[in-house]
Amino acid sequence: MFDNFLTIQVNDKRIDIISYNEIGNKTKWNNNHVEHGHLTIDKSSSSTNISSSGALELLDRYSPLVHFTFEGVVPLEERQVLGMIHDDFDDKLVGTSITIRGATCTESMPNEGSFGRK
Amino acid sequence: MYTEQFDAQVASVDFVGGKVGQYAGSFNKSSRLALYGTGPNAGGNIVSFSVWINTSQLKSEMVLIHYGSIFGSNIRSSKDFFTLTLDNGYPRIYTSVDRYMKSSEDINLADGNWHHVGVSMPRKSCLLAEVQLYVDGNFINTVGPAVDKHIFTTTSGRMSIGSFGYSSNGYDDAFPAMEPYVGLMDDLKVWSRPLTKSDLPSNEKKFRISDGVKCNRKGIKKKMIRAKMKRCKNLCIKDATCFGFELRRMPEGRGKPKCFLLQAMPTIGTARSRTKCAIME
Repeated sequence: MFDNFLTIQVNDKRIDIISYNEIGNKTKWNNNHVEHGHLTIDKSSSSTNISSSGALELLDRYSPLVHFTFEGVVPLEERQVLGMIHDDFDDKLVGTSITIRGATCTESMPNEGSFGRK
Repeated sequence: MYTEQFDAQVASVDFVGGKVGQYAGSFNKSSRLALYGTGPNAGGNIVSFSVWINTSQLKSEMVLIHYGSIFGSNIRSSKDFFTLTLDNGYPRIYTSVDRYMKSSEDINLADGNWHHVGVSMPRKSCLLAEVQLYVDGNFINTVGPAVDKHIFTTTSGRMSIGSFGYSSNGYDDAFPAMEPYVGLMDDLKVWSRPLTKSDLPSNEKKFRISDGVKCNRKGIKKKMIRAKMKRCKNLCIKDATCFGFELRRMPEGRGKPKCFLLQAMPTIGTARSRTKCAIME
């Protein structure tokens, strides 16, 4: 079972890393993965070109990594947290609730910081 | 980027009029707000944070921001955690059950007004006593711990807001009197660097060189050294107005701006109350 994996292609002047994430209704064995981010370092020209996106997007480490504005919440299932052992972990991949110290959380507050989804 | 790994899972947090933006979070004892991703603390990494709070709870010690181990029932034997609490209105910072520091100034924050609290690690694996506490943009003197140690936090920890959240039950056993936060909270930020002046609320009147205003350094050490412009810029980081540093034209008012470092002053914080003006280029 693996819900995430990377592919890494390397040649003399270029590195391509692509992240894949599993999607589907089942908790595992969905046999369906989608690209979840990429990082490319290309030194084939005189200047090095670096591009990145999604889960592999380069971080701005000067900005806040985590930023909660308290402007609202969204349903938990709209913000899949990879590897989260949620309340229905045995039945489905993306959780709709998770219990924290006896309290059932069904909502998510998006992180607006550089660690968050753009 | 970690996408949603550092979102917070939420229960029983209401939304009311905010200090920054439209809303703030209103916490009660049943509220939960915690991040599933491990970190951002890990080992000696620099982690600093700031938050606006508003509470009237005077008779308890409440968890504001907590980074603690997910595993283990005996947290006394594990690596450091990092926890900011409000003890009867006074901020405290813990890195272990027996090691904490607290404000030595009379700053009771449980007065029903908004206050900005900032906690800054000045360098990797600093001593707890070196951690800087700011309230409403002002540097706050602290006391403790009795026996200090370089901070090295657990790598299997998560950050929780307003309670022990995802942390192990060992924290409840170690701090039986500590309670979840009750009050309002807004604009929580976490950095992997020390706080700078621009991260804090500004109480300082700024002047431009062209205004011709002279600084009054009465009461502070006047020893100044020239610093390379690059160093000045690095310290000031995108903001030419920094406590302890100023860009001046020499001779007075003419020539290219040069960077001067006031040696007696820290990068941010305490200089505010002793410096009458900062020159903004």
